[in-house]
Amino acid sequence: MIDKRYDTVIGLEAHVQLKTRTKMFCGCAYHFGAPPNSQTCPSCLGLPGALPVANREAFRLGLRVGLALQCRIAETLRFDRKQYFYPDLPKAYQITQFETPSHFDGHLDLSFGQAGETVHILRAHLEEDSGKSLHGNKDEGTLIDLNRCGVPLLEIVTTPSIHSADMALDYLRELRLILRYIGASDCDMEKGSLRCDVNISLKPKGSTTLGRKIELKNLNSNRMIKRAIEYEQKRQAALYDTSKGIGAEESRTWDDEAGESRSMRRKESSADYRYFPDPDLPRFRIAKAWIEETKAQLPELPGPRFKRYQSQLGLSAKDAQQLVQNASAANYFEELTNLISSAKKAANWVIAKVLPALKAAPHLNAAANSAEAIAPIRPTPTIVAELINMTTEGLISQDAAHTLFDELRSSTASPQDLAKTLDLLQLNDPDQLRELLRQSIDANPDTWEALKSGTQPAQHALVGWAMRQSQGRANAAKLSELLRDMTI
Amino acid sequence: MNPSPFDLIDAGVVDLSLGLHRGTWTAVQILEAHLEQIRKHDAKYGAFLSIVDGVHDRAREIDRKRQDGRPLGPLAGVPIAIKDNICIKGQPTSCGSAFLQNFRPPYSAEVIERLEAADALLIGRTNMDEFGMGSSTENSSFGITRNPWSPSRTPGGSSGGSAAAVAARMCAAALGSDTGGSIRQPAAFCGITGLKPSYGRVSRRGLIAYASSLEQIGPLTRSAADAAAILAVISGHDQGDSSSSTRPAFGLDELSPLDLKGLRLGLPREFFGEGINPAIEAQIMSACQRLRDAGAELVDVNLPHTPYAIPAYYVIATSEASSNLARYDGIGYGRRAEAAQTLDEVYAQSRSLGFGPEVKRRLMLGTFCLSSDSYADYYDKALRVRTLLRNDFATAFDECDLILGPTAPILPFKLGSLRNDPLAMYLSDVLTVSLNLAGLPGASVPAGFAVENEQRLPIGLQIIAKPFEEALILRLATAWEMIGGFHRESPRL
Amino acid sequence: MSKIDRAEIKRVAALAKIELTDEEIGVFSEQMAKILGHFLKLAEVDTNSVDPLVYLSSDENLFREDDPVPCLSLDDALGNAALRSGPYFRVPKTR
Ligand SMILES: [Mg+2]
Ligand SMILES: [Zn+2]
Repeated sequence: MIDKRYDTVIGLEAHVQLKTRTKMFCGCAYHFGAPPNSQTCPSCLGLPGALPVANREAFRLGLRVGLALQCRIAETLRFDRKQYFYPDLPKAYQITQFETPSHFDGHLDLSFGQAGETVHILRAHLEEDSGKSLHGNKDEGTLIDLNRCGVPLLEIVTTPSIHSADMALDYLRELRLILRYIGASDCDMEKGSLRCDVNISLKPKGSTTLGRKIELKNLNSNRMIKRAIEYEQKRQAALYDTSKGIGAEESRTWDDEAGESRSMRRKESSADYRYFPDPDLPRFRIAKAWIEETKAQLPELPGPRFKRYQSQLGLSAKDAQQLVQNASAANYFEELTNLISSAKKAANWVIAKVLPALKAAPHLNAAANSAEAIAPIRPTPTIVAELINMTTEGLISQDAAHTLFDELRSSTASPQDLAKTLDLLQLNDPDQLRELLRQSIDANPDTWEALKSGTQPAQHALVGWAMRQSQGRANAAKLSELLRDMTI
Repeated sequence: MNPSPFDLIDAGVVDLSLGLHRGTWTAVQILEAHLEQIRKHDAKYGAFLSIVDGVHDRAREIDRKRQDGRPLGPLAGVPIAIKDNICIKGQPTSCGSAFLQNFRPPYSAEVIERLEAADALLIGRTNMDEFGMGSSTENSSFGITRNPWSPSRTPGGSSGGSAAAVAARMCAAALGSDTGGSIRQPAAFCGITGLKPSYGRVSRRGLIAYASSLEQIGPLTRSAADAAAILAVISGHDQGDSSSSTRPAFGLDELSPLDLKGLRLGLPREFFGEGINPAIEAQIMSACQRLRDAGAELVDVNLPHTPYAIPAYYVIATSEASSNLARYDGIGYGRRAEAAQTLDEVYAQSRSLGFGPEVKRRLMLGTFCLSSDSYADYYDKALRVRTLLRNDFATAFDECDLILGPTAPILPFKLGSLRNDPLAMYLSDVLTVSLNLAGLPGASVPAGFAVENEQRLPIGLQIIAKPFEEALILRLATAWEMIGGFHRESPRL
Repeated sequence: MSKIDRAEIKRVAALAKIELTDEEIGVFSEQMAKILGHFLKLAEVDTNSVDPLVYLSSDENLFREDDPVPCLSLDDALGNAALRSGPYFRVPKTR
């Protein structure tokens, strides 16, 4: 086991696309999957003479993230140019914040998975995304689509404060949850709105000096991140074991098919990016008032919410986590709890019915991911509260309530009317119920005798017969009650 | 009665638009007179690269507008030439570079939109040093431009085509751009008025960037009033240029006649003496004395960091240029080497074929200055010296209202004479670059002539003001025109 | 600090993506040594207590609101490209 001899030290660099309507420095809208090169203008094409103008909303969303990650916020900031030639970078420089990141020195205390561990945030800065290269067939060469070019990114860099693949994934999952909560990003790895590079090194157990680090690129899913880290742990351990160690810091790309990392031809460390302040953009100053206002508008974050559901609402950790994982479902749950004053019941309902309904409708799920919206699911919490009251009052059975929920997904009828229409109201009339019991006793004289001599399971059999006789409409609880009266 | 073509080409911006508003002449007549002047003389001088497509239609449109009684803009019918580095939608815009020979921008610069909204006639594109890099217009990929006063000499640069076109009456005014003197020096060499506005006064959107923190678009004209008329249209905040100032635009109402009495004119010691052609110095001193005779007060001032202006300027300009010109990669627009097989070949070969030697030299210098090993000694150091240069001016302006001096230390030089000595060419910008470093407005106005080899060669007086005090510059320039009268002289073509 | 020799000229040319002939390398190394030597005149100035001048303007926070504006047509976007494939810009294979 490598863990016995070496400590793993991991730092993550996440690039998240901010959920603005337009790009970072121009007014082009960006929609994933739009026709190639249909979302461009002189500025994001890098045409001669074109200039950048910063998007206020990108700053606001960045600020939300910075505050959610407990970062310090830079008072004044500037943009720098990072210069390198690449076909998907038409200006041959990326506008980024090299010298003054907007946000720095923050941390995320994990609430799920390896709860209690802390990941430190080195910096989170604004920059612009590059376009996309498509690798067509050989004759065609590489094709360039610049739609994505200029989309606002927040690059979130951790310190080397992560110790394992699992902790890396726990951090990423919680980061993603937070960013969705605060409406900063969709964090959809498949659509590239969350991308992650991993810096990893090993050091002898207990040593305080960091080993040479390797940068892993091209990790497009949680699974790939885990595999790549575990592969790299083994590869590096083997190198240290043979006392060769890591010769030089380098970037490696992950080949998921082959299950191995490979050195990249172009070594990042040898590049000279020639950063300098972008003379096309002015200085920015983040006013205290803006910070305070943004802080006040932040929703409750998943970690605190998770704790509150357990300590104040008495939910189990499992239920609380399920709810907190989906902000809009959690909001639905809170609304329902307020209406029926039973958190447990509300949780059961949301977990059993609302979450599956959300999952079955991905468009709703996506639209309602942020903590500021209640899941736009029909039936609304008010209607569900009525269903719950109807069950409490014995008007309908639990099963019937669930059936009604499904019907109400597409119906606008009142629950009461619908229950009537669908013949789901329970039989509650004592005379009719006693008649059903009498029929059950007549049909099952042996069971009745057994009950009278104290054999409890006999009661279920008699009530069950009566339920079947009523085609499920009889109120089972009341039947049991009446039967008990009859045995006394 | 038909106006004589001579009247039309000799009239300036203000008179042409006035006559058009009054119906004295039509836009088509104005256009024809100027096109005739271009046809007659430009083969010799090479001021223009092309005539704007559709300019006749535009002239007819303006005339129709007037016939229909629709309101006309303040520059109605005024033929204005545009330096080749300012984008005009759909028109070739090549920056004097073979790299952009076939480039037609899909958008227009902010200043172009403002000129069009003012009903100006964009007549043609003028020659320039490639990407603005040069002081002689010899670095154009499309041939040289000659000085209308002396065809064997340079018109100056980089806006040499614009200056020559205005001096030769081929247009009423031209737009140039000034990164280190590229409006003022050619204006001085061609005996006309050139104004470099304060940094941020005029939008740079659509100005093909050479050095973003230094350059401004400005007018070249034959009088201060004409320069003011153009500046009033093109100045003012543009939301599309984050470096354009949010101050109100320059307005013609700021131009009341200037009482020279009590006006303090600063003469920086460093702008006179060693390195300045004695004929120039004599002429500038004479101009200053005539202003003093008219009531102004002459004050000695110091700009002690002037000897460092050239190195600071060239470090910053080439550094920014190395970044701004990296986008010319042969992919999205511009020249692409046909033989290139690999991506690196596309970059290196396209750029090597497309750029001339001066551009390559400056890109190399800038790339070097920004490299991680050189950054502190060159780029960062230059930015600190830039602070000191700005402070120099601030201190000097405590003691005076305007600063005066020569625009250039040398007379229009013979074509080819400085070609193989780039450093000597750089050093000739010594009197102009400080303003760009400090963001100050400055103008060059005609101040007389020196005679060399029996040729009259124009001399420019440079007038420098505090940021956003263009009005004071233009008021003094107008007062000086009444005293000197040199702006009325025109070259015999 | 780097010495301006042929090797340095080659390094800078590679960064700037400029292909130089042997002759140009010779000419440039001579000229650049001279010019950069002049630039180093800056070292004479004491700038220890001087901040770099990064922003000429005192205007800050020039923002754009997050409102979409129309994009270029495909023909305008790709119209100046030397080489295109349908709706794409085209370059030699990058991998
Ligand atoms: Mg980045
Ligand atoms: Zn755009």
